[in-house]
Amino acid sequence: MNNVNGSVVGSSSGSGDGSAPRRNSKRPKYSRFTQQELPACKPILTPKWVISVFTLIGVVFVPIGIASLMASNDVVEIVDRYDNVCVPSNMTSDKVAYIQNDDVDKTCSRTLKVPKHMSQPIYVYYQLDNFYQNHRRYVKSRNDAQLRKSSQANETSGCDPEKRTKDGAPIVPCGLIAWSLFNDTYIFATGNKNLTVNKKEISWKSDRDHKFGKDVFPKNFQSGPLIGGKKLNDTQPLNEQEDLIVWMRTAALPTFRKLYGRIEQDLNAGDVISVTLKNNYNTYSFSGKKKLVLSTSSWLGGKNDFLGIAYLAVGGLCFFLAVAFTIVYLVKPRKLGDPSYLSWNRNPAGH
Amino acid sequence: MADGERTTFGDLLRPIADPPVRPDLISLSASATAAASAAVDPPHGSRAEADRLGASLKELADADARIVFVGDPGGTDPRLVLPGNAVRTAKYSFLTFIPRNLFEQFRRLAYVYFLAIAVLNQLPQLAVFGRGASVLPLAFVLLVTAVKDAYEDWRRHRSDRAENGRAAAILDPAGSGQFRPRRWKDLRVGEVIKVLADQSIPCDMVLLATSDPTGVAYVQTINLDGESNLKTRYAKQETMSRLPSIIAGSVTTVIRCETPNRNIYGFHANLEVDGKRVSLGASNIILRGCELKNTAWAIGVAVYTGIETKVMLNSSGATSKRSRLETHMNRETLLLSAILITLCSAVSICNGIWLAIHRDELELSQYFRKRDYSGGDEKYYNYYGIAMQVFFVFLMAVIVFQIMIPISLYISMELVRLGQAYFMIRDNNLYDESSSSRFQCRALNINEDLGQIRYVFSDKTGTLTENKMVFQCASIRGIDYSEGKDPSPNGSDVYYVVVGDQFWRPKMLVKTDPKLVRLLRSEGETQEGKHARDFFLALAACNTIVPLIVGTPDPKQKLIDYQGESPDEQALVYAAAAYGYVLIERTSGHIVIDVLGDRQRFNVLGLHEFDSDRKRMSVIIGCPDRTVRLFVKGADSSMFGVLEKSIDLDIIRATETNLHAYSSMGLRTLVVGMRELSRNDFEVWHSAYEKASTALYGRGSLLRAVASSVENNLQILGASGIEDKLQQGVPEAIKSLRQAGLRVWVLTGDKQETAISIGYSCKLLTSEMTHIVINNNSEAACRKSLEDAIAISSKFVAISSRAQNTVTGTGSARVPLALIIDGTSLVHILETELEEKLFKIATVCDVVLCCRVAPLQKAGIVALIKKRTEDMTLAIGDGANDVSMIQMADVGIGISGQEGRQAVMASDFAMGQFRFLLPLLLVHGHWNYQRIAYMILYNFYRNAMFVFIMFWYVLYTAYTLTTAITEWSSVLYSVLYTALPTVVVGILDKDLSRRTLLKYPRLYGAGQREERYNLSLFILTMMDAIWQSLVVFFIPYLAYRDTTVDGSSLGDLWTLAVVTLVNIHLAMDVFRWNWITHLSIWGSIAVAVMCVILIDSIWFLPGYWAIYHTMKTGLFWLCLLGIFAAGMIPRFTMKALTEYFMPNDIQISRELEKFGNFNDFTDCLYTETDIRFHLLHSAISSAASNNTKPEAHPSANRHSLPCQYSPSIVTCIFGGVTLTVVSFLPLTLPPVSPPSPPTEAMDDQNQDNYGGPNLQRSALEPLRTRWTPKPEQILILESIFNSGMVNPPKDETVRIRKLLEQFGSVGDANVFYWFQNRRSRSRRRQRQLQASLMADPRAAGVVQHAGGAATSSPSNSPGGGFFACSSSTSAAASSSNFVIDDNADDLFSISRQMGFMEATQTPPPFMCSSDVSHLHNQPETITVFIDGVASEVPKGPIDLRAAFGHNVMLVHSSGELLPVTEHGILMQSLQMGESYFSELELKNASPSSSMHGYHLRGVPCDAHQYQCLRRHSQRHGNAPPMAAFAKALQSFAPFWEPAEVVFRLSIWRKTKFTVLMDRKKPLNHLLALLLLSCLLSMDAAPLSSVDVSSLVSPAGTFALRNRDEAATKVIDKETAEEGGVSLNERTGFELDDYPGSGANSRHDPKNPGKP
Repeated sequence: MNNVNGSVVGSSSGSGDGSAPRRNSKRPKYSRFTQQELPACKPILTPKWVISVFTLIGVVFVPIGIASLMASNDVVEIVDRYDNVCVPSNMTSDKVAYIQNDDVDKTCSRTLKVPKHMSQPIYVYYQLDNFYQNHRRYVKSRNDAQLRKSSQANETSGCDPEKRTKDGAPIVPCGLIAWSLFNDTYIFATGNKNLTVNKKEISWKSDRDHKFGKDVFPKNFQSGPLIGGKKLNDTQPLNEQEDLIVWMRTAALPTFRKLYGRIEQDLNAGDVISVTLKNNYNTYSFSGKKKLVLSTSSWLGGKNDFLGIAYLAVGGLCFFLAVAFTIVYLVKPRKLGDPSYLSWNRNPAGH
Repeated sequence: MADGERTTFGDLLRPIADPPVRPDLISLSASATAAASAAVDPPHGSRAEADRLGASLKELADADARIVFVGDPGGTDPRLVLPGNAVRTAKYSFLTFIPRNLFEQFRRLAYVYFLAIAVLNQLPQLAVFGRGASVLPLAFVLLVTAVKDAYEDWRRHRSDRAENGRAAAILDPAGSGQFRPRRWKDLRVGEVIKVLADQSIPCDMVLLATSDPTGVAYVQTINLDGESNLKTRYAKQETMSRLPSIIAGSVTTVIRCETPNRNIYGFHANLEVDGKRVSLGASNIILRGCELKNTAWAIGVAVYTGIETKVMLNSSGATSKRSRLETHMNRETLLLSAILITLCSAVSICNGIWLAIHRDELELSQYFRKRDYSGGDEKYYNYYGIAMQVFFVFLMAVIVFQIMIPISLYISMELVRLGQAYFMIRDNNLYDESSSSRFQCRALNINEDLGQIRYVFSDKTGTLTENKMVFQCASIRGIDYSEGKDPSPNGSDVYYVVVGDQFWRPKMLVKTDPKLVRLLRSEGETQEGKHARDFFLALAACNTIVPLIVGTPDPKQKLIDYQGESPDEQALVYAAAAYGYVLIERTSGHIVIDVLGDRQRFNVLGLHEFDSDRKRMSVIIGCPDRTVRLFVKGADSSMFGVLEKSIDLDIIRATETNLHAYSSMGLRTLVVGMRELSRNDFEVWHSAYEKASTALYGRGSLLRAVASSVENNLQILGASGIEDKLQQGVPEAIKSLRQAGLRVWVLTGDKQETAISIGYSCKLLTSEMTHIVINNNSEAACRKSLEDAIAISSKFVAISSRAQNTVTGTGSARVPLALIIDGTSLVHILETELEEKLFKIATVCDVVLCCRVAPLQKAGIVALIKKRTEDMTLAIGDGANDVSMIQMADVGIGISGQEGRQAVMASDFAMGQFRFLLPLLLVHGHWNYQRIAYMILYNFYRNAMFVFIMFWYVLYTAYTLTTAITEWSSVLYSVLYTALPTVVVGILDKDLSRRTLLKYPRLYGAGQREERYNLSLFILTMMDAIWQSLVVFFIPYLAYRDTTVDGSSLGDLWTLAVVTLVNIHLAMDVFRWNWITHLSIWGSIAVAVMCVILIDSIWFLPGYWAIYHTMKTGLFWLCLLGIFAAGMIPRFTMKALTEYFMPNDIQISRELEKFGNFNDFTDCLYTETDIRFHLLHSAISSAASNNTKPEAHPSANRHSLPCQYSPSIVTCIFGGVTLTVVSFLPLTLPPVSPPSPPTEAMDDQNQDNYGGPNLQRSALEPLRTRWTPKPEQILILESIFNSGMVNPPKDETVRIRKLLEQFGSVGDANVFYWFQNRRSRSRRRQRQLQASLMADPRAAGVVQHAGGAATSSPSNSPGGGFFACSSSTSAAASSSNFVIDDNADDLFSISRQMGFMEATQTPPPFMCSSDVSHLHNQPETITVFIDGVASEVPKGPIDLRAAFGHNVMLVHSSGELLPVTEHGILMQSLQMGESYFSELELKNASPSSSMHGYHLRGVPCDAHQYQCLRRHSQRHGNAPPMAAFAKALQSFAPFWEPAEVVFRLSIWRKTKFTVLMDRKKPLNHLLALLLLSCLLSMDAAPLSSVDVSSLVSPAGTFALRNRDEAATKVIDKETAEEGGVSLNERTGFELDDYPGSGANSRHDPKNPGKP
């Protein structure tokens, strides 16, 4: 049997020849996507754009800067550092001993002068310096589950080294953060009249409602050999212990303020406020500072010129750049998309 | 009978054999010879074969050999456990999936790093992140990959099952002698299998018998190596004859074969049957994966099964390479690691210092609390002493700062490359229609290398050429027959074989020389005719081609399809068939040839295979007339040695001459010889042959010896020339590649002459190149020539650098050098100390052409470059001989062409055509490089910035690695918040459009110079990252200092700030915003915000509700805004500054795209008319609107040209040339409205005189209303006329009319008559000029100078510049006509016709006009290049028909058709030194078939032009005049035009046009404009005689000098006549144009707007 007889073949027709039937199915389907030809905008930094962008930033930033500076100027802030002053002069050599000695009366009086009219609400803060509330071992030392539900009191993981008492009972609230609760107290008075400090709603409502349970009561708190700070009222549920809630929201930076309360009345310029404070909190062991701050607030928060200055600087820089660019463009213009600038047109000899 | 081993007759032309390369054997470190012998396929009979064979036999006897007992699977070598035939491509099973998959995945270093960090994090002392946060991302990635792998593996399982379950007919082992179906997987070694036609072969099996009595089986190996033609395999006669007893099991048959290996072209075994030993080779085995074809059945015995089959052994995965960018990236990764370690050390050391300072306070400070009192005894709580503390902090720092090393980058890079590969594969421009093959990305990780290539090493055959061989011409006994003409499929000249009532004809038609056909068919027994018949008999017989008969729709007609392994052989057999020697049947014992209608049977007595030593093959044929003849064909070098020189010396000489001519035409040549064997000779040979072919040891060398003993004293029959057509678009591609700064090296096995000629035709070599040829036989000679070459090249470099010094800024390119070196020299050079010299010279040369190189030498050359430079190399090839080169180069590209798939298998990328290199490299390579480079930098920046922000914060936490940013955010940052945009941008962003990149190949240089990724960019980016991190950190820090802010709120602010900032940063760098980009960038920011909100909504996290609180405050938003502004200012400013004041080419091109209306520009859709029309239109409208701002032309049609204009600037881009016409156009444009002079009367007058009776005229309606052309219309008409459309056909007329109607009413007849008129005018003018030249040759110069003087004047004042120039063209057109007939349409002819070029500056080959006339007077021969061949032709008229055959026309290299008389006599003389190309006339050709007519023989491919032409003709329904279109195309794409045009352009450039463009000299503008608009109007202006060298004096000022006083006078007179128009405005156009054109002469239609 021979392969060349026509009858056998047929089936291999077309093989090995360019004229093989075209299988168009293999051709990639055309679409703008596959051909990478999607409609697109091609921004180019033309001088017009550059100058307008700079001008725009300038136009936006300078007014904002001025507004923030003004806001910051309107804020009246009284800062009083009292940690050193409140140590009796005979005990300044060993402040730690002073603060650890429970027998010494820690009461201390300060007078503050109101420089400008302060309209209510006047916020009362305490400010701690050099207190690393963001220290890794400190910031982790808490247990949120325990704070929320009374049934989870045993949940003390992560609370080292303030986890359980010596006999193994769980501490509620456990952890270093709660343990180190700030415990100085302030009483304000102008003239003879006491200034009430509203200590309600100084913490975030979200914390009160969801983070700290209303059926969770402090247990075994501050019962160890080392007292870190304030003791808590065992009968008050945690969600009402607002100082704790405020304290537990750990500060971002080693210098921080915490809201102590609000004075809900105006103070006039020249008013003298006498502060009676209990200097309980030990910052002496780590050379921290304690300050009492009374401050009004603006739409931008407290007194801080930085943002205003920064905005003015950026805005000014942008104006300057806009002008500089304009001048440079005028002095040394270049036609956009001029092929004569192409390197091989400038220097045909090649690269 | 021939043993029938693989014959690659095509190898004759690649003198050094193409061994099928065994990749595992190629080791370039081994010496070339050793490696070569290892790689050479044994059947080819290399020197080493005898040893190898001996060795293999010895080896077979060894324990390694496999012993197969046929029909007895149980008896198979008991020592070996042989695999079953089941194949398993699946990787995993149920049990092994998890461990194996994890193992596979963790082979990635990135995952290991991930894992290590996660493990570190699990240590309680180091637990920075929660368990979930640290493990989850890794787990997610692992899971996704595992699911993907599982799915793929499931599919593989499925296909495995299907494959294993197929049925095969297996001999019943019980001895019943029956074949029973069994599943493939149950098949075992030793079993006898029967395969039927069209069935797949289940395993590798040795053939025992086939349905063919001679034991032939045909197999198709397309699945194995991609070759679609049929291969012949043989069963041994010994087994054939004993088949029944083998099946019955009565004979013990034992096969000893080599152990399984992956060489699909080699097999060593012997077979013992009945005690007789037979040797088996590769031709006796059929491999799994093949299909049996055209053989009813075949019986074989399984020798290799399952995974041991050759196809399975060859199915290795894609090559794994590492891209250069990635290598560089590793350097920066190391730097980053250093930074990381520095940061970690800094933190830990600071921590140690802090601890030391506060040592005493640690006990009591509430936030530290050193001791734990709860356990009763006081122990330290997490405090291990300062040293340990430092160590722990260090490790924790590593965990926190881990993303400094952007591990996610590796994953996103893989994604991006996948996306890029997707787009490359889907690119329609990389799809090959002819082979219907898509682009393939086989290596996924070197996409970006495509953008950095500097060296391209290309194979020739099949890569540059189509590897479709077509027989072109023959030289028989020294007489050249090369006047073949193309047959038409149904023409009378097609040779049919009549079989019964059927007509058989060869499938492929070959052009035949009528003279030769006559000679063959003439009855008389002339000596000449006898030789010719022998010649074709040799072609038909001396091969291994198998004819197949294929049906056609017409039942009476059948096609003969010749199948064979060598395309050359196919071509020769087709040629023989066309001349009447039709091979119609081949078995292993005989062939049947239809000799001019008489069917004859020839016995094939012996066949000597081709081998690379002999470089020839021979066949011994027993003819019907009882004679025994030996036919030999082979390479000329080997054949001339064995020819009988004593008798035929003259004939040999003549043949040699013809061969030389053929190879210079780029044809592949073969020499055919013959000897009639006497009975005695035959007996001697026969016994030797028998002995040799049955020998067990050294069979190959014995056979070779036998062959050599008989192949001598041959009588020369002739030689053949086979054309291997260049692939479409190759010259253009090579040109663009070279423009792109790529060095293209062609490495070919062809002869030097062939190589050079192909080099010319593919524009690799150009005439202005200086060739350095190294062609030596000894090392000493090589050394000498290399040294000489270095001397020469350094001289050239010195000259050109000097030249550059003297003419600074004018851009005199240096003399290009071409190095041509052959394989013999390379043997002495490569891997010796001469390599260094070769490298030196080769890198100086622009082009390197290596001929006659062996495959390993190709790799050696690539290695030469790769070893010594940093530059990236790319190798492209299509055959097995290119595999080594492809694997050696950084990027290997396989052409999936005619030669099988080995190259593709070895390659990184595979595509169908060479020209796809252009889009691949220039477009995709550029994009990929740009994208990946940016992505890497961006990822570094992005992660570093985040790390720095955390680092700054750590400085304020007593160095304790607290993170304000939540752990989830820091984990998600590089995974979710910022990952998608980089991937999207990495896949989709394009800095430039495809079109721009192809238009300006030089833009490719960005990748070569590593502009997008380098150390300084990295450092800049890092500095930017540090700045931005400072801004992000310190603005909130300072703003929130001394406030009640809690860590989480500030952390959220930082998170959002950094995420938004890095995304804005990315957004600023995005080049193209499409919806996906928008979605990904803004979507990412949105996702980040949502995630932050989500995280802050989880009650047990410390940051609960923080984001809600901060977002309510103004401070938060002001901080964010401030961060964005302050963070971006430095980068934005830098970007604006560099983009505006230091723009790189990419930037300018982007601007061009945006402002130049570049996008609408579709190449080759424009006629020059469109261009000029557009120019004109834009100029007019800009003048009219007098707008001060540049604006894009609101062109509605897609023909709109990229043109930007303003009152002062008209910029036009076409092709790669950008022309800027500066500054005075609009000012000088006359009002658009003035009516032009009526041409009607003139038309009437001239028509009778010159127009003559015209058939078309009657077809036109007799609309003879008076028509007053508008200036625009006249311009359009002029340009059409000048574009070569001197006598438009009717439909063209209609088209033109429609064009004109945009400006005013006009009728078809008006158009028609205008052209009649215009033509006659130009002819008249030409005659006058010629007459004056005849009278005085020197007058020509004067006349031209006069013209030039005239044109020079308009430059003196602004006025009518545009129109002036355009209209002046007509004058020039006519003046030019005497140089080359109706040739007014060449864009660049301007340079020819501008006197200053020719007369004063241009060296030959450009003739100055006076020379032409001189030539007319003195007839003698001149040398011209016709089809690339230097030819001596007589001056004056030539009888084209006699010289070239019937409808052949000559085309000048500029593209214009030379006019002939109706008798085929050229109307004008050819010009010395010019190039012409022969072309088939288009007459009577339909548009589609005319395409074939267009194909120029052996020409510098106008393939692309043809493509365009075809498109055009399809659109417009007719074939436009060739010349016009060639020209139009040239003008559009200067990179397509013949080299000559480039040269002219360079001369034009040398006219210090750049000087003219100086902005500050209005006069220069004027001149520049003039030059330009002349150029634009595409024909010569009388400017020609302006001596530019005198115009541009050294000081840079102009001195316009009118050479001819008379001309000035004429101008004066004209001006006077023109009245209101100033002298200077009016000058250029109207010299003594249109004499005697009557009343209308003043209102010349070519001179619009000047009433």
